[in-house]
Amino acid sequence: MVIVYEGSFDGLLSAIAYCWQNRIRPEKLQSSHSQISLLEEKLIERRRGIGRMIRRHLAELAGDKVALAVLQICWQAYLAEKAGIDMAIYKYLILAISIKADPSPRFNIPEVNQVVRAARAVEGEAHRFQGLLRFYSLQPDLYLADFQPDYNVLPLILPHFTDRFQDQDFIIRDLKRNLAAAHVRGGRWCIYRLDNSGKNWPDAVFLHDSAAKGSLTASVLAPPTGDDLPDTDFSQLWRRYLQHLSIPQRKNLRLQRQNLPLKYRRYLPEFARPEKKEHPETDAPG
Amino acid sequence: MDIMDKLALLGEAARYDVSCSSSGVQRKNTGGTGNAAPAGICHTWTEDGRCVSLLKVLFTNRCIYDCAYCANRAANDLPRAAFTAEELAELTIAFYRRNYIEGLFLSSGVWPGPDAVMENMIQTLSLLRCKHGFQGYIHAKAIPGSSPELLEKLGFLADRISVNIEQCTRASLENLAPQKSVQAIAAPMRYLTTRLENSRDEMIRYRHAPKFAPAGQTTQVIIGASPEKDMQILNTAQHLYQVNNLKRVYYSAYIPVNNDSRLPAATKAPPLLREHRLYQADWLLRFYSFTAGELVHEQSPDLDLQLDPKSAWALRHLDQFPVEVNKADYDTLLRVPGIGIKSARRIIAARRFARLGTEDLRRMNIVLKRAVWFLTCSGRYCAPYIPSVKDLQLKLTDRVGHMEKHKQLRLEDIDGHSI
Repeated sequence: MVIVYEGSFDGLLSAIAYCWQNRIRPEKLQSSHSQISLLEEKLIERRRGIGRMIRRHLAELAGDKVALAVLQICWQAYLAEKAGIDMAIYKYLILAISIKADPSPRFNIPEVNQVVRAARAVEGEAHRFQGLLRFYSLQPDLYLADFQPDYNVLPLILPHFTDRFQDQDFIIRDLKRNLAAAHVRGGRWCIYRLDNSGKNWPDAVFLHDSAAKGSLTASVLAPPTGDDLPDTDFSQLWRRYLQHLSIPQRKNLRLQRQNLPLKYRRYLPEFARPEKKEHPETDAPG
Repeated sequence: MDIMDKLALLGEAARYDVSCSSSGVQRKNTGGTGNAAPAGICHTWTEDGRCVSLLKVLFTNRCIYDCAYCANRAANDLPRAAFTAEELAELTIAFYRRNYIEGLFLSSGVWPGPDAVMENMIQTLSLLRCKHGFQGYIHAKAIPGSSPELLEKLGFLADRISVNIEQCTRASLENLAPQKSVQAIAAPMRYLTTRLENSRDEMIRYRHAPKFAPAGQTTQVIIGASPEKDMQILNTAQHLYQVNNLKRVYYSAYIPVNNDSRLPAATKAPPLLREHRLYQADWLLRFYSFTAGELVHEQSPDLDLQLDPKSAWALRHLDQFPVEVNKADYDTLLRVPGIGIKSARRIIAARRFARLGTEDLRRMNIVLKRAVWFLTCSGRYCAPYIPSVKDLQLKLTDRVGHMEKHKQLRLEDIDGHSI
């Protein structure tokens, strides 16, 4: 049977829980966002708090630490958005429940290998973007950062930045997926889906939010217009500083490219071409 | 001088300090700006391929000392400048808020005197920590010859403190930096060692004891400015790790910045490969339980430039190989060329559930390029054939300069030659 789930992580977990409870072995797990198949299928609704339920169940079987590690790795693998990863996550979770332990060292099981690898890749990119995300100050107290990660790392890096910039209003936009996260001072944040131009905010759909939903101030939700130039002062200062920081006798562009591949340079002010208008808006995908 | 020129000048003056890490400390944000992640975060890479995680600047490039190897020596005719504490604190915060940097690396020339410099640095750091509520990473240099009271103050503001020894023998130091005494460098280092130990005790005893430089102490040695062999350098490093509890020793290939009869000629290229080998050896000391004596000894006091130090060691100890993947303990696995900490841990975790074969290792993403010659899986030798010693040596040799040697032929090269 093909099981169709609502295309979120909770949706996937709900489908897995459904299969487990009803002793169903799905031939395929499919996100409701993807193509409709001709086979017999069953749509599973998302259950609220399913993540916590599974975690509690796993914790009873194998302890808190393992439960957390297993769900964490599944969540990261899910964010890789790779084809077929949902089925691998299903097998991974079922295996964790049946062996009552962390399956990650059992790499000789292909699905475990697949999940662990995907999770590792996502974690790696999330770590990278903790350093490579760049904020521009739009208004004196509002900062904007754009990026286009290979994997959906926005939910993974957000806690890092909400802790780090507690006293700062900021927006992080994933222009590849049209997602945006907004944070206001005091720790309130939410993740939106933007419309296709990536610019309009009022129609944005709440995907996740912290406790105080809807209490974000208007200044954060206001769309950044094309007229706000990002603070060229500091990006120029930064660029000039970096030029002087490099030691000419050690120049090694190959090493630089190995450490910082070109795909990551798109939104870095230090690699912006000076003659181009230095606004992130102009770089938005067409 | 405006801030733009000042930053360029004082950034350039600080670039020969190679320390870059922002790791080793976890700092939670308590309502202010910033935190510190224990893994360390790189923010960008400069054209020389080195990572940038901290805003690395000198407070001032004025200096009373005239050390031969230093770009900022008193005898050099350079534009000189100094930040003010407020200026530097505000710049750090502005960069930090844009996520350009992970924190501040503050060093300084010595002017007008060691204590005065330290006071300036302390003022900058207090502004950051107290006025701006900055919780990010701070690495501060302790100035040789400064008083312990100031060092104490600095330690409670910074995450990491370093004193650069620069030269690892008394003779070279006296030759190249005649105004600095060995005592002036050793004293703050020793002080930091005892203070860090005390701090650890205090934190065990009292939960809320203030943290003194929680990311510890580091230093830097210049490579190639003086005639020391790798053996002396590695022995010094080992001593510093064991006795002074240092977190890191950084090695900096000497870049010819001055013309001085005491130094190698300015036309000589910096010994980058040697620096690389020293770092490899340094890792072996810190994480692989090697001792300096195993890597270099009286007969061959320098590391082999063609071979990485672990491979060189393995070639000298072929009687200890091959190693059985399914049985060898962690320390033995670590000594196999090509197997690092992650691979060794992965093997140990995985073999509890299944016997491992060569294919399994490959599937686990363990790099077998070198390791394959030193391993057996369930009694089977992993490599396709048993190599002779010479063969093995060839297989393990890093093909350094490979790209340069095999450049694509250009038309200009052909011109003028009869082919």
